Amino acid sequence: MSELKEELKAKLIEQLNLEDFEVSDIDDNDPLFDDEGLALDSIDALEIIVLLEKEYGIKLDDPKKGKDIMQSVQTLADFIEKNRK
Amino acid sequence: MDIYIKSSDSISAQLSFESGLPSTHETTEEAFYNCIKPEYKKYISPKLLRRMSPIIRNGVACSLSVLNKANLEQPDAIIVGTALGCLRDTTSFLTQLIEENEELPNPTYFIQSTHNTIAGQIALLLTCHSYNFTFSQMHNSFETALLDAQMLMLDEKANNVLVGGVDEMSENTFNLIKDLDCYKNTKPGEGAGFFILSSEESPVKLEGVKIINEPAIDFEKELQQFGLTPEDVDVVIGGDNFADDKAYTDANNLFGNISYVWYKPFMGEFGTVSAIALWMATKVIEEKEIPDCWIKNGVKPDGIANVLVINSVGNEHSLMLLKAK
Repeated sequence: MSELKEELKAKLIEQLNLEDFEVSDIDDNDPLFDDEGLALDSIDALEIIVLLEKEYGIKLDDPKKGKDIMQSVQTLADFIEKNRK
Repeated sequence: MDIYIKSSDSISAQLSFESGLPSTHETTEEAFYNCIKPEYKKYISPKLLRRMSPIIRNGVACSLSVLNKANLEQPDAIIVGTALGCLRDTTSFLTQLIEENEELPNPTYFIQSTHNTIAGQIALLLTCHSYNFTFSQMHNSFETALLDAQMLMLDEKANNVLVGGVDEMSENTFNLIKDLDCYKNTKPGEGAGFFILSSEESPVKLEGVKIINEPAIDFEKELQQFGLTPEDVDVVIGGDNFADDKAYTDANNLFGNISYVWYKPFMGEFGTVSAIALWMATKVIEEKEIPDCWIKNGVKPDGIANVLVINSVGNEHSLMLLKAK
């Protein structure tokens, strides 16, 4: 799980071009869409949906669940662990 | 209504941003010119910057700089000329489509691959809901944007217009250009030039802009429309790519005895390089002098009242005339 979270942080930095972030700057429970965390926005949410499908083969069928799944790296990793193919 | 250039700036292969006409210039051994990147974070927050490709960064930073210089928060219109648009994002988007069998392209590349992304991003940053237009007319893209701005002001629909030209050059684009046998004997480049046109009087007056789609320019006839003869021109900013560029033979002959400035060998050739040339013309009038390195024929100007910008690529020509006020 710890390996997955580090991998996920690296992929988020690369995919979302988070130029000012290193993997070590992101805590597992940092909010992704909050100014106190990574301050991502709706386009980033789309990018994460694409990343989940492309990298882990997980299709987000119910967009309403997106908000809970994408709260933090921890919640994303939990979701991937449960659903990856 | 008279139209003035209230402020101007350019991002180019030379040290032009937030500067006057540089006193030296560098040429490149590379296959094409890339811009000298300014400190973008001075104008754009890191949060927004991370998603912007170089062309958007250059267009936005240059726009915000001229707004800042003009002490203007909101223009009455935003008009941008770009010949080839956001090519890096387009290339990334199309490459992904091919490599991933038309599935799961990344949204950012797709969203930002359109030509009007730059004008749109500027409007979003300024929360500007006024007239917003992008013109793409190959080597006359900037001139078309400038004409539109001029008409908008002459119709008294705007008093302050943000207008500019911007293009980018990547390795992929360069290879395509060479495959298509374009820009032979010239070095391609990239850059941005932006201006605030205003009805408020300032030292540089935009006398006119003319797009000419003919085999050659009849300078005497064209200048007559502005009530001038070739002898009235004090400085020419010519688009010669090299010393004996045949596209500019007539201009060199006609204006051989006055100060003839050239820019393409140091800025590169691209669809909106004339925006950089207009920025140079503006600086020549504002600073009332020209560093020696830019003067092709070695003739120093004896007073600067009328500055003529000439751009020719194939049968696409343009003239822009500035007057010192």
